[in-house]
Amino acid sequence: MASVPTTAPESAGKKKKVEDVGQIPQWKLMVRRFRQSRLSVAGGIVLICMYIIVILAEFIAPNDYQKIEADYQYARPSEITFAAGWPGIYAQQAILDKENFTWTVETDYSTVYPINFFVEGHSYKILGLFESNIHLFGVQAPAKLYFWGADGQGRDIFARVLKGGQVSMSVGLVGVTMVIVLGSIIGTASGYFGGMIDNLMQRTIELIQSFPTLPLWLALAAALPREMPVVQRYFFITLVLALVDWTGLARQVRGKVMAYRSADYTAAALAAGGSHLRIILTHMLPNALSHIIVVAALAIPGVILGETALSFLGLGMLPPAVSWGVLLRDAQQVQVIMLYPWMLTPGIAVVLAVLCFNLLADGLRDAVDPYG
Amino acid sequence: MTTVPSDDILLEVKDLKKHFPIHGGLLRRVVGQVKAVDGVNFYIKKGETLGLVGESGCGKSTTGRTVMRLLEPTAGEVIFDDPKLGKVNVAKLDSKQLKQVRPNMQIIFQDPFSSLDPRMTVGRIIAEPLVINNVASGQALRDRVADLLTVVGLRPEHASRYPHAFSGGQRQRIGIARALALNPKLIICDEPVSALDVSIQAQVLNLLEDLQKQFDLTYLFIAHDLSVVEHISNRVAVMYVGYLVEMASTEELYHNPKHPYTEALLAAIPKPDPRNRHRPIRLPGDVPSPANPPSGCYFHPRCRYAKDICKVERPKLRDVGNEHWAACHFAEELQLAGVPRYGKSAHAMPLPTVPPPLPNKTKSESAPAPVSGD
Amino acid sequence: MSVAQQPSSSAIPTSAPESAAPEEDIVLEVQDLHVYFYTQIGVVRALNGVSFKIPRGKVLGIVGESGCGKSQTSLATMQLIPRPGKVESGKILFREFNNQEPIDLLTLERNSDEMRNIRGDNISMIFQEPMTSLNPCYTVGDQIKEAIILHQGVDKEEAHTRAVDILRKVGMPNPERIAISYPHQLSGGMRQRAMIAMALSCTPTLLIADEPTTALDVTTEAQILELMRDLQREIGMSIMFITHNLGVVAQMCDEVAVMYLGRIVEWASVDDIFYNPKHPYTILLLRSIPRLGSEEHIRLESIKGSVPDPYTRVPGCPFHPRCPSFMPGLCDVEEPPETTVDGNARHTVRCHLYT
Repeated sequence: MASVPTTAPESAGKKKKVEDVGQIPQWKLMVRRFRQSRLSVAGGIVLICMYIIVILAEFIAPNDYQKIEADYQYARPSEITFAAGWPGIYAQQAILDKENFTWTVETDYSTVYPINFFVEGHSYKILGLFESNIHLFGVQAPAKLYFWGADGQGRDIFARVLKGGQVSMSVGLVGVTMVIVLGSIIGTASGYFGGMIDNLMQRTIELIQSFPTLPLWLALAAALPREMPVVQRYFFITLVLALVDWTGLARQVRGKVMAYRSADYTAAALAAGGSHLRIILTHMLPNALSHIIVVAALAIPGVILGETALSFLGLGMLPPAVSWGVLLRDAQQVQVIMLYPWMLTPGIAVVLAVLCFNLLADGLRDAVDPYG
Repeated sequence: MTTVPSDDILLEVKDLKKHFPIHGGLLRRVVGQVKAVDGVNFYIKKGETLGLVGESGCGKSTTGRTVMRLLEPTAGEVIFDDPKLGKVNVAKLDSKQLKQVRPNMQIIFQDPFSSLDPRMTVGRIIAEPLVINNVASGQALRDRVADLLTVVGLRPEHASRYPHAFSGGQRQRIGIARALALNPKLIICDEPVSALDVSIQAQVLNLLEDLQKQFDLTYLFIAHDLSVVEHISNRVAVMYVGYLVEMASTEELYHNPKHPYTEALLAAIPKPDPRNRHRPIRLPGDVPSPANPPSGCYFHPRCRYAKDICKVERPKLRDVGNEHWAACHFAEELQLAGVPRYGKSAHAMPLPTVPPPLPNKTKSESAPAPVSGD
Repeated sequence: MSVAQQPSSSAIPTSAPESAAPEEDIVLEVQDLHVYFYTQIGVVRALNGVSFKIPRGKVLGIVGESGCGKSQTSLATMQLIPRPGKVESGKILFREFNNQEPIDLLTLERNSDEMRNIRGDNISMIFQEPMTSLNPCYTVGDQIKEAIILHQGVDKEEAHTRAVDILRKVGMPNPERIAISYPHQLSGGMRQRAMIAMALSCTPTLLIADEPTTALDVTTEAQILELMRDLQREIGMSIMFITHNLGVVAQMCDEVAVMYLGRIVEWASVDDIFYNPKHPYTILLLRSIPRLGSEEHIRLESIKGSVPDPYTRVPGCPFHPRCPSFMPGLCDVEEPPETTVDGNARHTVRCHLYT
């Protein structure tokens, strides 16, 4: 093509600078900004660790989370000793108090049982795929390793918290996936097309949002048959949780899409003959994506807490399935907490997970919108 | 409406209307209409630039977008002379035909920030119209993008950068490259230089003029700056509250206005000449709202020449001779003041010239000039 | 175009020879003002040694493109530089009355009572967007009344009459009704008038107008400019008028300072700026605006390139990368000193062509 009519070359200094930043996509700039908030990065790292541990729950936990040990009712967390120069524990024994006719668990300080790594134990499947019977830790019988003590039926709380985390921490992700799907589709449609569609959707959202959340969850969860298989129940519970949460995302996406819809680059794409679907896929969604991720990250703690609350009230996951809410149900009575405070460890897990998600989401929000 | 041979006309807009409904109440019923564009008539000849001026809210941008069918017109015709399909009424085309016509009408926007998708590289932005219309792909596409970047004065390697790395003027060049991608006949320039600094504004105006010559383009140039419009346009149309009040050749309109509003506009321009200070014509009141315009001629409450008929009857845009169109009952009688003519020799204010560098002060001849081009 | 050759480049003409204007009454004198912004990416030198004077009753125009530091100059005067900006050095001397010992505004604490008093009583400011300085929750009249009561210590009724008076003065068609209207009920031009009324309510010694007409339509702009000119003559105040529009400068100002990258590159009377400009940047600016009414089509002069991004430091003359009169080895090495033009102490330029 023809020669250059007017050139606008930059000064040498500027050129160098542009080469530096100019070719970096916006999302990379966001990642850079995210990295600057240390607390959020820390939150993210803790979460990643938590997910790895939870996925490998059976491998990491020394005991079977379901196995009832009558001899170890409310066993204390094992005392770890370095007496042998290697971490080890003392065995605990159930002793019958012959005067009161109650069993108490007492620690026998005579022998140290060293903690071994990669020991054989009960067999399990990770993610239902890889079968194995190797465990990260273990001690020799008759000692039993209870990091966080045992519950009223002598089941290992450490194993149960890890296993319960599989439900509680995935419910957030699965639930939020549903939130994203519902929220983005409805929000995009509402914001892009406007008019009647928008009006209808917005009124529906207002209606859903005007219900008090907890009673709605309770009603929906109570409608699920109690004999439903665990997996199915899990799926429905996340659906119940997502059903309320998508409205917030839909509103946010709608707002964003409305702004992008009125941006001139949308007009340019229309003027070039671009179809609505193409514009939505190439301009609306990619631009809204960062906001969707942020809103989703902010919604995850809500879903986790929702599941915990429902299960705690006995309407979410039901035993024998375990989740943090189910576990906390065992710690309902003040007496239990007074006598066996280690029953509250699932609560610490919930707090940690929710806190980390909130930190992460906070950093993401700042990264996406530095002025927000 | 015209007296011009229809073969010379690229675009003719007849009685174009765009009304936006005002919703109110609980059920969001339509309670009124904002008549943003209310019966606009104009034509653009092939290869010329028609300037469309008016104050903010007068509907000039809406007119541009309605002509492009980026907004659905409420009524009226937009006759476009498509090189393949011949004369078509853009306002009535179905989506398939519209897609065929659209490559020939493109648009350049005011805001250099909102007009480029921040998530796309400049290359993808410029390629988008080509991809949508399946014009090119692969290496051919990349070559075409490189060509377009060169044409607007950028470098081909800019294609891999993102818009945030560019200044306002460069972003405007990118927008122009995108508009040129499909070899359009008509480009609607919607305030293309309003957001730019004066020196950059001159660069972009010069570029638009060069491209017009090079590619035989026709412009509808929408702006509020009357000096810029005078500089770039062959003919100028003036809009007031959704209606064209005057249209004539630039020469005629600026020196011999026929509508009192044009006269007031011209008198209000702050002239860059301190020896020529002037008092503007005082226009009482404010620009009326297009949702609730006054009766008769919309300008009558502010017009110092208004008579009784102006309150009742809305004047039609009519040819008062020599392709000078005015919508005023007294267009022929009124003696209105335009911009004084500055002859070539008697230019009121001499243009200063930049003194050349002083050779005796230049210390190192071998040092390369810091910038090239222009 | 003979230019007075200065014997030494150290001559600083702005602090003009005492004999030139011994009794000159200067309201505001800015000396060697430096304002830096410390951002995460780097230091932005927004103002790099700005010096100027505003004589009593005169209008000084400050012109330049975006990013030249014209707004920072006004904000620094009001001690309103936003974070992370900082006034590095310099003096801003303000004299409310003639022959008064000047106060250096920079020595006052940003939020001290004295500074606040000066801001309301002696120096007022109007902005491009009136809504930023009008509170949407109060009527226009109440806001003007409050300022009057605060700074003039009169009772409510007196304040009300004064408020209505001042609204009438700024050309409001129905001042009583406007006084009880909220800002959002007014049109853009009316709001700008209301803001001017508020700024004038305390009859300031100096008015700083930061692009007051940029957001307005040309017919409204013309009326606001006329209004400001009339009021300025009537009250006798000085105005620091910041704008990018050369037309507005020509119509409004007595003296003009042209800024580029945080420096004043040329300072002269408005007539000299338009009829005898010296700095290549000033000349190119004048050549780049379309001339109304010119008979033949003159191609616009454009300045090549664009303003460098704020983080880079241009060595030597800041304009040299875009300058057609660039002299290698000099302009890119040495920063040109301020030089008087033709021995006229009221026309200075910073360019090696005239040193």
